[in-house]
Amino acid sequence: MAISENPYKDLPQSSFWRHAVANVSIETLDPVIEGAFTISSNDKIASAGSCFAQHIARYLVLSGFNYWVAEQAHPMLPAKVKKDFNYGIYSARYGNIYTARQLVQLFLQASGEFIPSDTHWKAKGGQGFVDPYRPQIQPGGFDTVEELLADRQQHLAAVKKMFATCDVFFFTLGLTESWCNVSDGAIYPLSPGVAGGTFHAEKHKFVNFTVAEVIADLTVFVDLIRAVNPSVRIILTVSPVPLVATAESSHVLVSNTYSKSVLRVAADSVSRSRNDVVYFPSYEIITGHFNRGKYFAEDLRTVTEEGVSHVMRVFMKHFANKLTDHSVYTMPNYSSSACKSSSFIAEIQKIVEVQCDEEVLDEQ
Amino acid sequence: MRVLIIGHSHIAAVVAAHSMRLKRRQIQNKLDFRFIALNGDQYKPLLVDGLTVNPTLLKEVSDCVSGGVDGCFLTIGGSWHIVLGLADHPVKFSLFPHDVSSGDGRQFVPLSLMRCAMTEYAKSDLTLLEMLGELLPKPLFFLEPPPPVPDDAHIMNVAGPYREKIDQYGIAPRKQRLLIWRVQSEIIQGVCNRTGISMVSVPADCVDSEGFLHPRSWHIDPVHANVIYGERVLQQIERLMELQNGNI
Repeated sequence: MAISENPYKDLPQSSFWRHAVANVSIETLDPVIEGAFTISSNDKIASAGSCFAQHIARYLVLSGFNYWVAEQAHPMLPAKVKKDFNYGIYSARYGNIYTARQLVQLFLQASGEFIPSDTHWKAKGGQGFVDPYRPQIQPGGFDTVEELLADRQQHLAAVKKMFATCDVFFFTLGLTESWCNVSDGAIYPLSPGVAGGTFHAEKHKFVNFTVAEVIADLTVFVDLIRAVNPSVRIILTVSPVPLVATAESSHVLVSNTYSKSVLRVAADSVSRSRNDVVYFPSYEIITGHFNRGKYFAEDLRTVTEEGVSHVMRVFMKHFANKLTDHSVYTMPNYSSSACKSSSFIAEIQKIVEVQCDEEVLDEQ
Repeated sequence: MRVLIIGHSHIAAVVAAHSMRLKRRQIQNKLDFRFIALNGDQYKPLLVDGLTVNPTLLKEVSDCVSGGVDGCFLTIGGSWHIVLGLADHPVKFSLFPHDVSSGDGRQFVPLSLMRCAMTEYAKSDLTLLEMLGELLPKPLFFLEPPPPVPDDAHIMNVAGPYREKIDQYGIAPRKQRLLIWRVQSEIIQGVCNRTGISMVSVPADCVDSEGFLHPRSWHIDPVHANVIYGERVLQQIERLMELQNGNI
């Protein structure tokens, strides 16, 4: 190398802060160099993760992707009830999956390789029963333990199918802090006692995963899913939503930095060690100070719609260039059974109304 | 004593029984019945903007009440169990957990989900019930709608307008029909409890040992009960009014 040259000389503008960040308008900043693969409109996309993943799922649906919901609500249910009971929020009704360990255990539960000892919790302040591994999916809980177990069986069958047949799996890492069962290591998305159950210090333990543990868990997950679905492509993101609380003795701001740093490093590490696993920088788009904090709401935690829109704009640009028209957001494709069902209920309702009118007229 | 009975189509069996009594000149009791059948065109829509009772209905109810009534009986809605549970759904479902493990292919729907679905579908009926509950003087009762018919053959025989759907998708399993009717009663009971309305159960001798509609009360359609059932309800009303007035 000549003395006047240096390793940075021929690098693209995206490598330089002044060109790629400081001198770019907020809305147009694009931290992705190139998408590792593209997603066609036929590819079945499944997703899971912490609460930010809900935004991603919503936009994927609205953007005309084939967002795949493997666990559909029964089509007779009114739209409001489906939403209240968390159907269609993700590809299956698992609620938020905050940690990589939780994701691994979901896979193992679905394949029958892990059966946690804790089967149910009493609903908080209610009569019903709560699934410890998805405590918020059923408002008020299930009426009976038998119902809870039957619904879980149905749920896990859908999850198994989803892992085995999706073309793209989108996972948003949310937390490193979690609670687990001491006896079998089962991870709870929420501490016992928050949405149900009772916290017992001898039975439940706080864990805060290290970067090595998260890398190991993510790697195990990639290998598990590839064993049943070799061609699946995986997109990893880190949730920009800060911790709502920390169980560590440190300040929540400090704990948040630890948690997000670990997740960010782990995502990067696994995307380098496994093929067709990519990291998508939604975390950087939302939290990067180039945006002067405008992608967080007043509570400094909720991501604004503008921020989500920026993330998805960048995503579409790099991963969706095979789609025909990204500017036109279409409504989700309702399955034919759902359409058939809504007309079935409406038709029966009409018959009941007409017949009931006639019944009364008969007696006048 | 004057009794006001307001209701949807299940009122017809009671009206028929009352007419039968009139024809047979069996009016030896002290009750003077007044009926308001909500299916009448003059009351449509029953709720204006989903929030206000139809003015024509409101006036008629107010006139009745101001003329003096000693007891009011309601039977509003009550056919949602038919909408959701008579003909089998194109996407077959089950409310029974053991059906999931038996692998019969039906989608399991937890009861709390069915409860919320029916509450949502029946929203305007339940709102009307709540509004009338606040409007009408006490004592105020709700007449539980008749339970489903257990016999598939009878349902087929009297299917009428439901035949096409039943031919296409079949009749829903009998135990499920009964459970959906019970969910409906539970929802109505909840509104009654909140509004100070007493729920009057189906006459005991009109149900069989499992809780279905007894054959002697079967009607010429699969939804409603017959005049014999209506007569039993009239007798229930008479007993309740006598109780109210301390005559028993």
